[in-house]
Amino acid sequence: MSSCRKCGIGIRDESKVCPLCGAPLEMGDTAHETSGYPDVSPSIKKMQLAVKIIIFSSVVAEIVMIIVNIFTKSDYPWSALAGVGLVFGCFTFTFSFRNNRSLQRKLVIETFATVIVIFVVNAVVGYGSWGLTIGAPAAVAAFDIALVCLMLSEIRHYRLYIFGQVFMVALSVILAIVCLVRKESFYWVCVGTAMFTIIVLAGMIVFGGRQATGELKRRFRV
Amino acid sequence: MKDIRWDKLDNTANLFPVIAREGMSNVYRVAVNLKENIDGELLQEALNLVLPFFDVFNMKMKRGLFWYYFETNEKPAPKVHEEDTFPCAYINPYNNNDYQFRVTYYKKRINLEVFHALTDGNGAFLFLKELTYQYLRLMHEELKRPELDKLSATTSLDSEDSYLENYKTKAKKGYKTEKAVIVKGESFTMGQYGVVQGYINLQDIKRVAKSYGVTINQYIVGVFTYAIYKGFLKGKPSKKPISTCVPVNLRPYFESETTKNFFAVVSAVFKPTKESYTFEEVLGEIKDSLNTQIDKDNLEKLFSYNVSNQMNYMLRAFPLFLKNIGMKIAYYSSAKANTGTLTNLGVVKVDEPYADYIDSFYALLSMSKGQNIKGAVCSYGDTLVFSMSQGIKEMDVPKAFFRQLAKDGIGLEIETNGVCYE
Ligand SMILES: [Zn+2]
Repeated sequence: MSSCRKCGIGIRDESKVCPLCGAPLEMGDTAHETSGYPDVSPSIKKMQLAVKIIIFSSVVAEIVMIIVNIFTKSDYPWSALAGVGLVFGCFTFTFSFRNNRSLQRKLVIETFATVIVIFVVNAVVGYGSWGLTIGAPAAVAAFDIALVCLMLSEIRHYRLYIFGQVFMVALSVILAIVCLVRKESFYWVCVGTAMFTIIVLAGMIVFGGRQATGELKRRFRV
Repeated sequence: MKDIRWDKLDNTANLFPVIAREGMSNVYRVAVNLKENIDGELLQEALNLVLPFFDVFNMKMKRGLFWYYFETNEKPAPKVHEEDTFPCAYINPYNNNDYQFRVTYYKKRINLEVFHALTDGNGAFLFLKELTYQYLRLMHEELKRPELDKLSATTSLDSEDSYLENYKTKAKKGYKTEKAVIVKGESFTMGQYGVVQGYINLQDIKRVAKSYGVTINQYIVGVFTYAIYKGFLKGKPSKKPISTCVPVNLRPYFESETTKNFFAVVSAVFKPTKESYTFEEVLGEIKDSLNTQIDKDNLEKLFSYNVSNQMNYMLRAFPLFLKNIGMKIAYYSSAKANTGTLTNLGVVKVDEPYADYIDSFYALLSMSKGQNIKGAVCSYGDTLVFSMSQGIKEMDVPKAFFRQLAKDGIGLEIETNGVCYE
């Protein structure tokens, strides 16, 4: 341990000057040493850099496309469509390609994102309400099948997937209700998906027994 | 099949998951300096043995529709490793076997870093001490005894929510929103901060505090406030007060032995209205400010408001994400009401046979919104360790702090994490 005579204090780290007054230190014994701190040099996070690059190049690409779209006097808003794709791609890359969330959460969030993208594309492209009647429910059904596969692969922890399934039920039931309220003639995909998710959830609860109901009680405790 | 053990978050804990993120981790550290280098594998073994006894730590946090809650974590204990980041880094449970704490070591030191939703510093010290005892029993033949691998008799395992047990209904809003001095400067990149620690002679500081007619706690808060006044305000008057959060351990006031959070926060306020105050004047104001707030009735009022909100049936039925938005607004609107935080964890006592192997304990806080400077105090044996952490590169406040101690003739040794020399 070194010391500063001017301030009358001891210095335990490897500094050559006094942290209080800047005067050079007198070296002393090494009897009373503590451990100090490791030298942690700030590491550049590769992932953050990659995210920045991808978002930046997407924005540039989108601007270029909008300009081309306008100057070619095209009636078709294809740049908007490409923009939706880019936003979705960036979102998926920053959100789901990182190793910091459980697969289940990624799946649920991606489901929501996909449904939104389908609605936006439908609004841009037109051709009736195919987004609501086919696109969105088909996406929900596909993601729900993925969720079920994930659960089966980890059947010991099936309990963890009940809450994700509840979200799938909520989403598909909302879609089905909107479909019926709008009196869409092509409603059976929506209704079918809702029934599918409900049956899966019911199955999880019935076969899960007390563990499953306990899980639901905790998740929905007010 | 056995039912799963689960638990609610205690009243203060509800806030922490809402505001925690990288760069504002709400993780704090308690650490023990042994007299020998640490063996990582034995430390892992000790953790595996001790963890199942501590319900508060042996948990993962889950998100319900209305509340967060804890559930017994069935995964193996988190991996013990050598310290390789700045202290109190954000804990992502996904990469940590779902646990909300981490154990690391560096040379002679064992670090326990805890997400504040689990418990406060007093709860963390209980766990750190048991972990250390177990480690020493594995390491040293002479400590092995018949009652090996059991907790020491003095360790409480009570995990009640003492806020709920002790609150009184009908309380007014507890947190304040008047703006305080904010210590600003050149900031570090995210997740980094400066640490300056003083190993202080306990007898000296006792003597000095007595000579000023104040307690050790009041003296330290006084020096801290004076250091901000001198080091940041440069001794000039200010329209805003210097306001320091002082968390008060509520266990002795309400006869609780809970291992969960149980503290309330009072503010030590000093408003420099005229030119140049002496240290004695600042200390006098701080003493009065603390004395008026730290009594049982006032402390009870402070936490009763939050608890009565938690008990309100209307508010309970809001989905979690709406609650979170509300809490975020309340948190950020009161974030500028305080200059810093100074927590005193008091005296750490150790069971007899282990005392010979332990050099010192310390605690360390991480940065939070608006507060660029924090201090944590605890004492063991003849040493009181003051750990100052700061989010800015300017060293003026810690310098002013330790200069005042040196000026008062207190024996003092300083250690830093090096970033402030650059
Ligand atoms: Zn000096």
